[in-house]
Amino acid sequence: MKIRTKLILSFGVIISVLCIEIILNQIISDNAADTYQKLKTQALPTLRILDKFESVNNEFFLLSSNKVYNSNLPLDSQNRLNGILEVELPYLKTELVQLSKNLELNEEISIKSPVIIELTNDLISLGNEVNNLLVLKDDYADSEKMQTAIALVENDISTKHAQLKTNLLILKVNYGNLLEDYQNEFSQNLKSLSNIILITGGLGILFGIGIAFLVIRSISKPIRALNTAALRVSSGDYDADISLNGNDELASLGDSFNIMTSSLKGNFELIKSNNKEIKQQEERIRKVIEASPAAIILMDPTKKISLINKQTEKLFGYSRVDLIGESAEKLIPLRILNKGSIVDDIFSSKNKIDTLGVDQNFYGLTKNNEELPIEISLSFIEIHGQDMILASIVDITERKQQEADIKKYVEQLKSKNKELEQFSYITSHDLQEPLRTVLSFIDLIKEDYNDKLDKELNTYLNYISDASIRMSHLIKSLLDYSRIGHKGKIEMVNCNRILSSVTADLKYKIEESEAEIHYGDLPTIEGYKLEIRLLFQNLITNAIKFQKKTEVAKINISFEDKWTYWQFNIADNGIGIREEFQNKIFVIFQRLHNREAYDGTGIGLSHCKKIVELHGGEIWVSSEEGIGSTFHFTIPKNIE
Amino acid sequence: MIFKKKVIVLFLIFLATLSACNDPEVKEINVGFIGPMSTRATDLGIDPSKAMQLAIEQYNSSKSETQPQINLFIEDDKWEKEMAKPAYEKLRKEHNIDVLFISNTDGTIELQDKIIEDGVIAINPLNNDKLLSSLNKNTFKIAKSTEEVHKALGIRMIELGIKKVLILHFPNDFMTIGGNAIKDILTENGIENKLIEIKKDQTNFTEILQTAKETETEAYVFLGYNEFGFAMKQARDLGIEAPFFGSTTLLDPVFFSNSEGAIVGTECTFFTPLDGNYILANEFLESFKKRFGEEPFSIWPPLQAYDAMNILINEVKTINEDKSKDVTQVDWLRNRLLNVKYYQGVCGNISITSDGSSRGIYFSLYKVESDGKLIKIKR
Repeated sequence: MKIRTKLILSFGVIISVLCIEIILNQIISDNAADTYQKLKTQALPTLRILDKFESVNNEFFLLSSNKVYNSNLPLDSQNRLNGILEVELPYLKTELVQLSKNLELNEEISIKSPVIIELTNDLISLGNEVNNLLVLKDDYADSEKMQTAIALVENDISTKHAQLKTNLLILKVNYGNLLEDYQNEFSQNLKSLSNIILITGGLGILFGIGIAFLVIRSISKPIRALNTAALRVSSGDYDADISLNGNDELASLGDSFNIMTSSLKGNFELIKSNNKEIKQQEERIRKVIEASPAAIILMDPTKKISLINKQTEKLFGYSRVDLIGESAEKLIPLRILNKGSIVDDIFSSKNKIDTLGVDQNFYGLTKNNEELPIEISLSFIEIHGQDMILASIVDITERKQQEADIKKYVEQLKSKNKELEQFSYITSHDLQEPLRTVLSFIDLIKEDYNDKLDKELNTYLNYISDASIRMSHLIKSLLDYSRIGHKGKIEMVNCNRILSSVTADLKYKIEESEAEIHYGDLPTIEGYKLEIRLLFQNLITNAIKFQKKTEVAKINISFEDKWTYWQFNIADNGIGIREEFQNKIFVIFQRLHNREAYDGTGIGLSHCKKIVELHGGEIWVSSEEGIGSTFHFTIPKNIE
Repeated sequence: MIFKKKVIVLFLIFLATLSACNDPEVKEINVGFIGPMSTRATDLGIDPSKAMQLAIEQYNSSKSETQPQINLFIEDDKWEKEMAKPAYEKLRKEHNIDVLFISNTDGTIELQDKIIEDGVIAINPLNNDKLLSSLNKNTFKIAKSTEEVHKALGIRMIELGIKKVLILHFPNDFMTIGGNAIKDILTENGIENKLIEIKKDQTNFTEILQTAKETETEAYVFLGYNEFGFAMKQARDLGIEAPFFGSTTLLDPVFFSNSEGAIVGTECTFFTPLDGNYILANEFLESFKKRFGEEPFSIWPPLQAYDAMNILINEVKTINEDKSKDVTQVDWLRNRLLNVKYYQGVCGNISITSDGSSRGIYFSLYKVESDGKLIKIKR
């Protein structure tokens, strides 16, 4: 049986006993209360009035008799007699009437009260008569008055007094008996009540003891077994199974206990396994930290070093013992510390990852007081609720050297480039002069020796003239190429205006070729105005030039806003470029067609490439032979 | 919106109806006392007022939350009926009194119309005579019977075999009624007597006394106040040795001093704790002494006043429990007082009859032994 059932049954029995006791008590208490009520409202008030009535009746008779037979009746006695006649007897009558009203009609006192009241009225009346007869001492000498007074007292008052007394006495006896009956009944009720309390209380106690014994025994034994098993488990013996008989809660608890120990055992094994894994992970992390090529230092909020790796020891020349617990400022040269505590700055900006040493000279201080350039990455981390800084330090001595070398090479390259440009310029410029001389002399020859020149020589001269002019054009193009970006400055360039100007300049070519140029609202961009103009002019000229003979050229100029740069697209429906040549078209003097087919120097797209690169952008072409080409170039929005 | 207003109006009406249903609780009952606090018969004013004050204090200090507070306000009428109305008007105006205690019979008569008009209950705590009982329904007399008290004096004189009596009385209703009561009993029993009303401030009685002496008057009855002290002295000075009789007012200290001792031996009707509830009366006297530092000089006025006030308190203390809203306060209180049938007071067991007079206080015969001291006369 389950403990709950046992307890419910046990308490049920006790509660039943108590309920029986309560019901019996209630019944008897009600009887007792009823009896007490009768005592209080019926017997006791009646007896009290009857006692008082009897007493006053007797006193009245004594005083009236005394008055008749004692001519020297003290005034006090007379006053008392007056008090009885005027106050007390009328009051007792009122009380009796009131009592009768409150009691049932068949009550004896209710039945007899009219008689008593009538007798009282008679006595009051007779008393007043005697009082009026015997006022003075002389009245006592008046035999007639005395005779009347004596007759009143001895006959009338005496009779009425006796009748009243008898009535009162009978009522007193009856109500005395009634009182006794009520008292006995009340006493019996109390006694019964006491017995019931005693018996049911005793039974309740016996039941309680018995049930408590049984329940305690059924609970304590399994609990002891559980306690022993729990002690074994607490000492690490997870095989401490217990077996409890029955199917109550404790047996269930025993089963649960066994499941718990089994679960504990499994959990402990899991914990052991986890611990091993954690240790392995820790070992791995430790090895990673140790193997890190960078020196790693972990600092607490007071800048005290709490962890370093092997690389730190190697870099700074300190052992772990020297650094753990020391301030990280120990590893920073004093001259840098004097500029302000960098560690403090880092701590003042939580979660900020900062790097020191990049683009600036930052140095560490070794044990030998040698400074070495380092780059430090500082990370704010929280470990066990504590703010910490993790510093990853890299020795950049080598990099610094490389950077210095690169810088030197760049400078050298710039110088060479400049020289080359200067050379190109000078060369181009100087080359024009002999060419102009050649052409001048050819013109002179043609002019002065026209009649002497035969047809073949004229043709040769024309070849020389054409070649010289072409070379001049080439040199001029080369000069232009070298001049790109030399004299310009960055300014805001309205592409709409540029295109308007370019189409105006190319009006003749456009009309001649009947080309159609379309463009929408173009942006205003940052750039070298002249170069941008040349860029558009070259690309449009190209598109017109390489048009199909059978179709009207249609050139569509558009742009895309690419957030950090502008992308322009100049699309045509021209002859297109085969895929294998698409990378070659931007090489200087590179031509895909012979001059007879398409005139030109072959430097236009090189100009374009140089202009775009001057702005930091890119240029490329997407094309399909026979369909058309689209030249794309980009111009950054912020040109450095 | 209109609906909300209607709801509010209905709620207010409901509240008003509820409040109208509740009979407002009586928080205070204001009681006035008009009595001789100076000039004449101060033993009927000062000590009774103290006794009433004591009764009220005892009640107020032990009353429950629901019982009303009782306040006492005192006005001096100098024992003049002309003073009663102004004093009453003042008490009504300033304190809106609900109940008036007044010890002067003439004053009580003087205020009859006013108390009915104002719905005030009047209680005379010192005098109780047939004249007062014939007045309006709001007038109660919780005191000894004036006629009986004085009749006892007449009987005493008859029993002493006195044949000729001179009765001098002060010109007020109480003393006039007392004088007539004596005169009646004497006349009924064939005793020669003469009833003379003196003037109010008369102090020289030599002529009257001389005449009485010459006509061999055997007893002299002085029904009045301290002026009769002079009369007693003048009588003895005239060589009158006949016994003196007096009313209930002999213990006024001024009376004794005016008489220069001539008052000693004067028989009178009086009331002491022996005549009432001895235990309760002594308790009262102890409380009186404790509260005011001395016992009253003349005992019966404060004893009666104490009982009268306690009878009122005994009734009004249940006003918030017993009075229904349909009954006015004055009607309720009048009805309650008329139903007092057996009040155990310091003066004895008192009842109030249907005419508002009380029964149960009976005076005895005493003789002045010295200043302020009386001894009981045994027949």
